[in-house]
Amino acid sequence: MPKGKIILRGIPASSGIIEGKVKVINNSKDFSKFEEGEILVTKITNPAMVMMISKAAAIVTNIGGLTSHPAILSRELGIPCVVGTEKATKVLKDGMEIKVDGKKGIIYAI
Amino acid sequence: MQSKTETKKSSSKDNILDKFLSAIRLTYSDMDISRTSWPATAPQIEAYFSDIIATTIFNKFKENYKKCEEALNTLSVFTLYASLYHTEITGLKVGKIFNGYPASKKEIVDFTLFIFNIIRKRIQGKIFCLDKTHKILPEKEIKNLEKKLKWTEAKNQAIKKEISILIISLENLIWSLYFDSFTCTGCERQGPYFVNHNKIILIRNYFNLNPKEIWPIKNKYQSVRMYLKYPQNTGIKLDYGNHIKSSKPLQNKLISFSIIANKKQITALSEIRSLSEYFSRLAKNQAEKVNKLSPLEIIKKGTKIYYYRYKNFFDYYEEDWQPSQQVYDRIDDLKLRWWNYYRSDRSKKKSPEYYVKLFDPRNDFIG
Repeated sequence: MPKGKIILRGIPASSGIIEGKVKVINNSKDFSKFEEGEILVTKITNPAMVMMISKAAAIVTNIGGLTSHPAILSRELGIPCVVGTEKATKVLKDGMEIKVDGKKGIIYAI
Repeated sequence: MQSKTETKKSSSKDNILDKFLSAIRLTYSDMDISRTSWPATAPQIEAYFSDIIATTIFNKFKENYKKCEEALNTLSVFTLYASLYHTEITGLKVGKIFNGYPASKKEIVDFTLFIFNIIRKRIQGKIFCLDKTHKILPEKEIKNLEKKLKWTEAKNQAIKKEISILIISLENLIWSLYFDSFTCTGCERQGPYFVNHNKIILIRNYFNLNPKEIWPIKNKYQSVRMYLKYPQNTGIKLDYGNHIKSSKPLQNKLISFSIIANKKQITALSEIRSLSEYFSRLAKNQAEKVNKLSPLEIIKKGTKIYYYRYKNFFDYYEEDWQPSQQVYDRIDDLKLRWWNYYRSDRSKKKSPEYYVKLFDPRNDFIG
């Protein structure tokens, strides 16, 4: 993937720009694999993910709006968040290095 | 033919309802609720009983509106906000269309306006939050609170971060206890209140963290009340649905705070961290418990949560607040009919206009 290429677009939900490694969480079995500072990529967050959310460097979700759970929590934590990308969990893979621009709602390859 | 007075009255009613629907439009334009609600969307649960509870309350209104007002005043104002459109409007429409309940459009409109009036008497800001605030307390009380409360400066990043984590652990706990759709049963967000020196106060009140009537949980904290002071230009706005919308991340903007857990003031970083860890653990365990429930169990639990938020109302009438046998019989009879119907609906994001139509008491649209 060329550096700087736009991989995904979604709804900008919490501003800030951060670079980091992707961790896709599809179900509760994946929870224990999440490490501090990774970018949480999931269909939508739920309250069982509370500990993961507080360790995430950014959040990217398939669905959601400006007042959805990941959006509200990200703004509280001051981390970038892009919601409503529709296909983040399909396009982004574990370990991929990406840049999340929460102000523009864009995910770049790095 | 309508007289001039009648025409004036009806146009004033329309005007109020249009403002309410503008608030609905604004709130739902930022939501993707038909797809994101956890563990179910509101209609997956409410469709089983919304007409029963709505007509129960409506009958009490018709019997004696003053007593009904007193009973409704025992509920939090945010419960009134949420129940208004979810229960009273859609529930009465459903009761009328499906079950022949005798409520005319005029009666439903009048009942809606009756609840607007109750809310109006209890708040300080604009009733439909079109000014993007939820101001409940009078200015004088806020000034007194600002003086009386013990404020701790959020002097470094570590403390700001820990407070954010405490907030998200509490939000998650509330979510796991009351589901996404019924969180006003346990918490409310008020403000922003403007205070001196270009600052604002936001109140996060987690007033029922221990609903023993719903869950067999052991939480040593019944409530946590957080008063948070930010610069006025932080851009904090609240919508009709009591969601906080901020144009900027909040954590770094926090100036000072006053946190009261049960009745104890919390100031030290270690105490805040210990609270965050405690609530995070509870939230995680509680959410995992919910994730293990079957759809039918979620429907029944959601129904109980829904009725629980009217507990004080039914207590006022000295009646049992719990869902009646009729409600449970209907759930057992219909099984997953509405659950599946609205689950298939989850693939699409609904437009705000859908909700505007749904919550307009002047039509028969029920989705």
